[in-house]
Amino acid sequence: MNAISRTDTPALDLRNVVKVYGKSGRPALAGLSLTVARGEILGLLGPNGAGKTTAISIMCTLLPPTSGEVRIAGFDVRRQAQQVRQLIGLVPQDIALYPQLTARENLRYFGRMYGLDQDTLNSRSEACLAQMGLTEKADCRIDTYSGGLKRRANLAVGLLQRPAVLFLDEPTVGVDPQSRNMILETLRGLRDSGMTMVYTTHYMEEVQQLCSRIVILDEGRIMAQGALDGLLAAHPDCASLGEVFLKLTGRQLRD
Amino acid sequence: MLKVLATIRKELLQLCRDRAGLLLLFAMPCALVLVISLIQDNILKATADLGVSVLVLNHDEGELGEKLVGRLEQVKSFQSAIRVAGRELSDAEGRKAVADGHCQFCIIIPPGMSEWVSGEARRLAQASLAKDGQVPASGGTNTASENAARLRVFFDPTIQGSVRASVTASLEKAALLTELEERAAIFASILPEQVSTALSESIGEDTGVTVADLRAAMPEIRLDWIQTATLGIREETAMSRFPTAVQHNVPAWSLFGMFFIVVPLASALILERQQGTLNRLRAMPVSLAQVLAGKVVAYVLICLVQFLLMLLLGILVLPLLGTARLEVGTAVGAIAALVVASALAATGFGLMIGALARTHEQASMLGALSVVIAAAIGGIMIPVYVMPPAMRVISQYSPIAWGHQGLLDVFVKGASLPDVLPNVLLLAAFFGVTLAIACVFLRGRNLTAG
Repeated sequence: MNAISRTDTPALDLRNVVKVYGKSGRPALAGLSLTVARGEILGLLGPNGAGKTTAISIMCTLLPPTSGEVRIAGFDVRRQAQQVRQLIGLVPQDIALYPQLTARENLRYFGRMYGLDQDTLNSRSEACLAQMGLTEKADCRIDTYSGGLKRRANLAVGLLQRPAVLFLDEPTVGVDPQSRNMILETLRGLRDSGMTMVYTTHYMEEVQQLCSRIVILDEGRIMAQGALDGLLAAHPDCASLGEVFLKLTGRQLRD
Repeated sequence: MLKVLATIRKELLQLCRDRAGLLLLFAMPCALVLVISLIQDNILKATADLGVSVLVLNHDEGELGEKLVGRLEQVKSFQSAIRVAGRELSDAEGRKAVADGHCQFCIIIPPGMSEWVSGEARRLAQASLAKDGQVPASGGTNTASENAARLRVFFDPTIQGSVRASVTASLEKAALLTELEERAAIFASILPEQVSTALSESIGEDTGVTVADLRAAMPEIRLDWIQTATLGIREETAMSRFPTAVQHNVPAWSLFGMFFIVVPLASALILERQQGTLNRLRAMPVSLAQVLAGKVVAYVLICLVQFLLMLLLGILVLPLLGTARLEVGTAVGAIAALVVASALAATGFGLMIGALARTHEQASMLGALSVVIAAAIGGIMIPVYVMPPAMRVISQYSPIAWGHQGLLDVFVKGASLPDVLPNVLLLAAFFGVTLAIACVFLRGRNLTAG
């Protein structure tokens, strides 16, 4: 039986993950342990340098952990990276698209890289373009797109292979309210269809709207985790998630 | 395989939409081949045929000046370029003619040269026959004598050193022959007189034999043998043919252009790293090898198109502009192997620069500079044989030189695939090493922490 089809296998399982870059000594992740159930949307919050992108990079097989174990749907990210890559989708913080190609050409290229056959590629590309409201602009080059269109195209590529686990690294940075609303609407639809997501952002309201569980990360450690209500209940002196975040991570500037 | 094909298509699409890149890849080598071939074609012709204009001012009043002019007119490489003037032009006017570019050389035969040479020849002949070994005094050491003894040459300082040396050598040879002939003539004229005098003194007048009898009995000394050469020179090339400027420049600048893909390739790779597309690909079920294979094939195809275009220029266009037609020989397999190996080497180098450099600016500068240096030491701009010994050794390590030498061997010497196999293997090894370095560095590139 395929691990992903086993309902008892968590979509994501991190055990005591440590990541130290080079000879820096200070760990970017200091013993991170986390479990995400299937269909859950985990909001990963943290100030700059907290370890969010490092955690996502390790979960997406881009970085090897210094120690610890990471499993996606039961597959070890180090030893079974190819199987893991068949299951995940990544929407990176950067607009990771080829600016000289059109949105449709980008989707077709990345679809091929996922190993989709021609028919599936055609239908999925068109579906993703439609889902993100890009059909009319599908044959325009990415470098002619506005910031919002680029973000939507960036997300469309992440959805191409209908991943079991979707990692979204600040997917709404710098977009207009309309595009942000569309992106969040799309993600809500995916949540309702049962897709597991790990979502990092600095926008508290997005996490509140979208995520079933929230992890606040700082200096590579989990400062708090739980559902929104639970976090607020644990910090009765805080009126909002933003206040909880500042209470746990401090008010000093990080950059 | 489909992933590699998709990457090839993607790379070609990107290149086709990059106008600056297309100009760099195709227009630049085309322009270089056309311009450099035409320029060097003229230079090589000038060097080979000494097609320079020579003005000769004969200010001598005697017959030796005429003889010297006659000899200069017989110099093969001067025949269509020599112009002779008498005293109607002064030295200053001759110098000005060179300075103004009307001719590249002006040879001035000084006034009194015949008289000076004859006088000196007589003096030396008498000295050689003198019983007491006394040498008669020289004709003079005043300024007029010194001027008469000096042929002057004004030359254009921009003319190639080899051309200047050749003109000077021709002049020296003509002058030496003229002087030698004059000395022999004078020696022949005084020898019988000296011999007769010496004999009459030895024999005495009692014998009844007079000096006139002795002189009449002596054979006439002929001098026409002086100009008869017994040693000849036969020039033969070590190769079946000389490379023409087109044969040198078309492969040279084609390879230069092919290696210049380093700049767009490295820049594209850095953009992929900076934009995050490379990381996105690494999170997909596709290997780095598949991604790089697609890039390599796409850029090798570009290189092959570049080379084909350059060949067509050499075969079809350059002859229309007056150069020789590019002759490529018959070893198509050897040419194909060399071109593919060179394209692979260029692509591997581009990937390595793209993996090592951190910014687009670094890649552009490092890529362009390294290719220009590799081309310079590889004999693309200046032939290797005119380089200093140390540079000749260094040139052996330029991959552009491996490709260029191999192609020259095929085009000019008729080399076949086994002959150029070492060059092909060196280029392939260079590709392997640079690709391996690129892979190591690309795998090692990490996302920044956040």
